[in-house]
Amino acid sequence: MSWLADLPVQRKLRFAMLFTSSMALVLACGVFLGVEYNGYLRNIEQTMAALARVTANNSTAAIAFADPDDAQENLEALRAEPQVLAAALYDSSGVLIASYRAEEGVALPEVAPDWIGPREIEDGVVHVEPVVQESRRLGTIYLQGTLEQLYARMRIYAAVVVLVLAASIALAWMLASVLQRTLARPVIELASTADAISKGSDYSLRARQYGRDELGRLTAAFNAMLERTQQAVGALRESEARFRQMADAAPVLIWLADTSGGCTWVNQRWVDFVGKPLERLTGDGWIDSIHPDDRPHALEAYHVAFRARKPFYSEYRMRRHDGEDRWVIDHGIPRFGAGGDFTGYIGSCTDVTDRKLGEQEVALARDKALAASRAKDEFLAALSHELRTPLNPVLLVASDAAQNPDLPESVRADFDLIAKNVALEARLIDDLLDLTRIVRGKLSLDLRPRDLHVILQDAIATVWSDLESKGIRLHLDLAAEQSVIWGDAVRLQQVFWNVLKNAVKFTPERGEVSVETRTLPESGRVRVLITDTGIGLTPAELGRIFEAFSQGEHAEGTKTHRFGGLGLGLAISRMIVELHSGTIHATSEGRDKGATFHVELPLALDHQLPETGRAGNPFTGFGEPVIEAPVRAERHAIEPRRSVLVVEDHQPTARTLTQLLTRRGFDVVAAGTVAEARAAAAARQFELVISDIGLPDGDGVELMTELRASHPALRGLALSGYGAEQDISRSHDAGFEDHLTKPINVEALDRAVAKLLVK
Amino acid sequence: MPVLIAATHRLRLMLFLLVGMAGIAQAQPSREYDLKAAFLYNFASFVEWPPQAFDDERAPFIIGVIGRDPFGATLDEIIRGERAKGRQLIIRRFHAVQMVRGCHILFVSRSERYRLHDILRHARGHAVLTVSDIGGFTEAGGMIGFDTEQQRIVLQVNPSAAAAAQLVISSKLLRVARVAPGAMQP
Repeated sequence: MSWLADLPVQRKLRFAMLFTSSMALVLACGVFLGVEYNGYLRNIEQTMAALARVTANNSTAAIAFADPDDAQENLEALRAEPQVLAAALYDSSGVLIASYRAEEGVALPEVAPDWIGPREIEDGVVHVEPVVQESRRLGTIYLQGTLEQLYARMRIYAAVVVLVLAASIALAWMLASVLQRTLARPVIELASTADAISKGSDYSLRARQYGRDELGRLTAAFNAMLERTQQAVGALRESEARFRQMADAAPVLIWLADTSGGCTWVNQRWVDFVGKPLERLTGDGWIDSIHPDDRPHALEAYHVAFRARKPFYSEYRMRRHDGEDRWVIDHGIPRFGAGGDFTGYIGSCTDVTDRKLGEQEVALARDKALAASRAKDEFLAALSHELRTPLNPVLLVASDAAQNPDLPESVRADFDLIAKNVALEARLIDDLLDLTRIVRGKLSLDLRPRDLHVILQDAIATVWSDLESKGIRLHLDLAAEQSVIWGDAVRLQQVFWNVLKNAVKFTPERGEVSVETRTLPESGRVRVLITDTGIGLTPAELGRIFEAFSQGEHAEGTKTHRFGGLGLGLAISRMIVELHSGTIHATSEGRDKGATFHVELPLALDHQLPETGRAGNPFTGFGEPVIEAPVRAERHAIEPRRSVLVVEDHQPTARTLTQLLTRRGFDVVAAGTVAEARAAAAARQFELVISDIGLPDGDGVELMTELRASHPALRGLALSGYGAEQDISRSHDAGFEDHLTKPINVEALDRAVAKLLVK
Repeated sequence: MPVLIAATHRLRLMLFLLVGMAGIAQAQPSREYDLKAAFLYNFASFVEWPPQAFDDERAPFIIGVIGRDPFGATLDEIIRGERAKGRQLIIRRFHAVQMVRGCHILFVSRSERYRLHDILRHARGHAVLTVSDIGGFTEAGGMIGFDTEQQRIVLQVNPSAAAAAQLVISSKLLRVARVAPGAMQP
C-alpha cells in the first residue's frame, strides 16, 4: 500500500471515507444478496422435494402395475412447474420407466441414482425421492430443477445494488469532499509550512492554527518548536559566525574534518598560507600541500588517530604559497556531539619552522655549554690534582722536619712555617673546588641521622693543636637534649671546623672560645653557639662575612695578612648549612668585643641513634670541662720493622713517603704501578698498604680488592687527590680502612698509620 | 414399455424378467404369469382389508391359488421373505372350493372357468380379493381381471364387487385400471 502512503492527505482522507462507506455498502449488499440467494435456493429445493414426493406418490401404481403411460402422464404434470427442468422415474431395479424434459437436450441418469435427497449441481438442484407404497420401495424418482429463475432474480438484484452503490458513492464523495476540507486543512497548512521552511530555511514562518482539536494542538506545538528552532538556529548561526571569525583571525591554520576523515573546511589563514582556494583543500585536497617525504607518516598518524577517535600530534612540512616548505605541528582532536556520537575532527597547524631552527640552535648551544662545562669540571679536577700533588712531599718533609728534635729550634720554626703555608695552600685549593661545586649544584650530601655532638667533637679535635698552641681556653656546654639531625657528617664537620678555625684565628692568645648547644623545641631545631673573645665584627662586616672572597676589615686593613686566607670557608659553610635546611649567622657587639656564630639545624626527631662508645667521651661532661688531647699518634706507639707497601705513581711523593716511613722504623717497599704492586705483594707479605687511588695502569681500589682476596689480614690506607665522596665509599668497600686526602700532613699520616696498626 | 415390478432382491428372477420383457405378447405363458404373479403380490399394497379378515394380530396373509397353478415357482420366489400388511405371507394351492374363504387374495386359474360361479359364490360375503385371467371375470362378479390388450396386461376392476366384500381398492390402482363396464354383483 505504498502508493497510499504517498498520496496527499486530502486525497487520502477522501479515499478513506469513500472506501469505508463503499465497503460497508458492498458488504451490506453482499450479505443481502447472499441471504436472498440462499433463501431462494432453499425455496427451490423445498419445492423440488415436495414435487418429487407428490409425483412419487402418484406414480406408485404406475410402477407396481407396469403402466408407463400413467407414469409419463404423472411426469408431464410437472410442466406446470417452470422450475422443473427434467424428471425421471425408475423401477425398483433402477430401470428408467418414464422421463420428462422441459427443454431438449437435458441429460438424465440412465439408471436410478443410489442416493436420496437434495443435491446441487451445476446451474441447478436435484432431488431424488424413493417411490414407496405401504412402506414398500417400488422405485425412484429423479427431479432436476433449474436455477434460471434464481439467476434472473439475482441479476435484477445486482443491477439494483450497483445503482444503489453508485448513488451512495456519489453521495459519499460529495460529503467526503466537504468533510475532508475541514480535516485536511490544518494538515495541509502544516505540510506546506514545513515545505516552505525546509526549502527556504526561513524559521520565522508559522503555520495557521484551525480550531483547538488535536490537529490544532499539533499546529501550536509545531509553531512553538519553530520558535525554539528559530532561536537555536539564530544562536547557532551567530556561534558559527563567531567561530569562523575567530578561526579566520587565529594565528594558526585551523581545519575541520567529517566522520569519514575528509576535510570539510579550513580557515582563511590556511587558504592564505598555501595560496589555494578552499575548494581545492577540502576532501583530500589538503594532502597535496604536504611535503611528499612527510606524507606517509603524517597520514599514518592522522588515520591511526582517526580510527581510534583519539587526539594526535604530527609534525610535517607544508608547502607555503611562496614555495617554501614550512614545518608545522598538526594537532587534531576528535569532536563528539551532545549524545557522545563522533562528529569528526578539529585541528590546528602551527608553523614551527622558526621555533625548530631556534631549538636546533639552542640544542647546539646547550651541547657546547655542556661540553665546556664538562671540560671545566675535568679541568678543575685535573687542576686540583696537579696543584696538590707537588705539595705532598713538601708538606710531608716540612712537617716532619718541624718536629724533628735533632734540628735546631730556628730551623724547626722555618719548617713549621713552610708546613703551615703549604697546608693553607692546599686548603685554599679545596675551598675553591668546593665553592664551584656547590655553586654548580654538584655537591651531593650523604644525609643520614647523625649525632651533632659527635660531629662537633670531631671538629674540635681538628683544631685542638691550634687551641693548645695559642693557649686558648675552650668552654664546652653541649646541653641539647636532642642532638640527632639529618646530615652529612663530613660536610658539617667542615662547617664547624671553619667556624672554630676562625674563632681560634681571631682570638688572641690566652683568650677563650666556648661551644654551646641548645634544643629549640618550638621549632624542632638544635642551635650551636660558638663564641670567641676575639677582635669582633663591625656591622658592615657582619653583612658580608658569608660572601665569597671577602673578609673582615681587619683583614683588608692589615697589609700583613696576619690572618691569611681569602675567606671562602664561611661562604662554603653557609651554603652547606643551607643545603641542610639550616641557618648560620654571626653576631658581634663590635670591634674587640668578640663574636658569636649561630648555627641552627633541623632535628631528626624520629630517630634515635644507638649508644656509641663515645658516650663516655670526656667532652660531654658538664661544668668545668675536662680538656684532654684527642687520640694522637706518638712515635713510640709504632712498633719497628713492620712491612708497608707504598703504591704511588708520583715519584716525589712516593720517595718522601718511603723516607718518612723508613725513618719511623717501617720496612717500606715502593711501587709505582698496579703491576709493580702486584709483583711486590706476590714476593712477600705486607701488613699495610698505602695506595694512591688513581694509578697509571689501573685503580687503587681494584688493587686493594685483589690483594685482600689473597691476604685478608692486610690493612689499607687510601690516598687521593681531593676527591669525590663516592671515591671514599668505594675505597672503603674495597677494604681501605682509612682515607687521606692529599696533600698529606705528616701528623695525619702518623695518626692513621698508628690507628690501623694498633688495631 | 413392458415393465415388470417384482421383489427387489432376487437377481436371478430379475434378470430373467428383464430378458423376458421384450416379447411378452408372444404369449410365452411363463413370462406372462411372472408378471401376473408380481401383480398378484402388489395388490396387497393397493387394497385395504377389513379388520375381521384376520383372526388376530399374528394371523398370516394368505394368497390362494385355486385350480392348476400357472405360476410355477415364480410366485413363491416373489413372496419369499416379503410381508404384506405387516404379516407373514403364505401361498395356498388347492382345488376344494370350500377353502376360498380362508384366503385374502384368491387367484382363480383358467382351469376353473367351468366352476367359476361356484367359486365366486363361495367367496361372496368374505373379504377375499378375487383375481383371475379368465375372460369376462369381472362381468361374472370377479373383482380384478387380467386382460391382455396390445401386448400389455390390462387390469379390469369391478369396484362394486370389492365394495360388497368390504375391500377398499386404492384410487391409485383404479387410475391404472379399467372399471369393468356393466359389472354386476355376483
